[in-house]
Amino acid sequence: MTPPRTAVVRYVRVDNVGQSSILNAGDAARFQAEADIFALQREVADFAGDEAPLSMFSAFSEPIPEVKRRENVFTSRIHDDPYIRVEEIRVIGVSASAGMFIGSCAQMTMVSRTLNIRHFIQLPKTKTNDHIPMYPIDRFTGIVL
Amino acid sequence: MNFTVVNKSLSVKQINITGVSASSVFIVGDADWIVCSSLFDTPPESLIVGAPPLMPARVKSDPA
Repeated sequence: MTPPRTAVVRYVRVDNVGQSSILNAGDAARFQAEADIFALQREVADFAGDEAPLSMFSAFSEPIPEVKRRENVFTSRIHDDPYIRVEEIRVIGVSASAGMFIGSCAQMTMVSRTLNIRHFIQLPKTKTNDHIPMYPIDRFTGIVL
Repeated sequence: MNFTVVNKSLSVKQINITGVSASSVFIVGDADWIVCSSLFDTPPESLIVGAPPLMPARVKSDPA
């Protein structure tokens, strides 16, 4: 197998790397990242910290469909130029099971699961713009406590 | 199937990225295979209306 190319980067600036993400300089064989995110927005920001176990929600246990190779592909690579050159990279954020690589990585697998819940204390009023309901709260099918 | 890749010269001046987020990748290099899966769930019951559950009283623990 042909060795991977070499990345040559003169300047990198990354402000933030977080939540099951990595910034990797150099070659890697495998990268695997998983992030489970429970995004609970409350009208009043009062949180106990243990609102609900993630196991309560199917979003965190639903199996992810697997991608299978249907046939064998024999890849051959010819590097006319064995370098990838980049003068300057600026990234503000790398987040939620994402990866930033300067260098090669043979296999990458990342999974991110997000569950978003909005919690109002009172039902928001319908905003009507003459005739088009902007927010179809009349057809609200959520949970009323 | 045979697949041949010829990598010619690649030279980039500047890359500006705001965010790499939720199971995505930014790579300056080569990769054999990449699998990105992302699941975002906002079902109808994700909108809850009502008073938040009563919070346990935050009592300052008294060492005495």
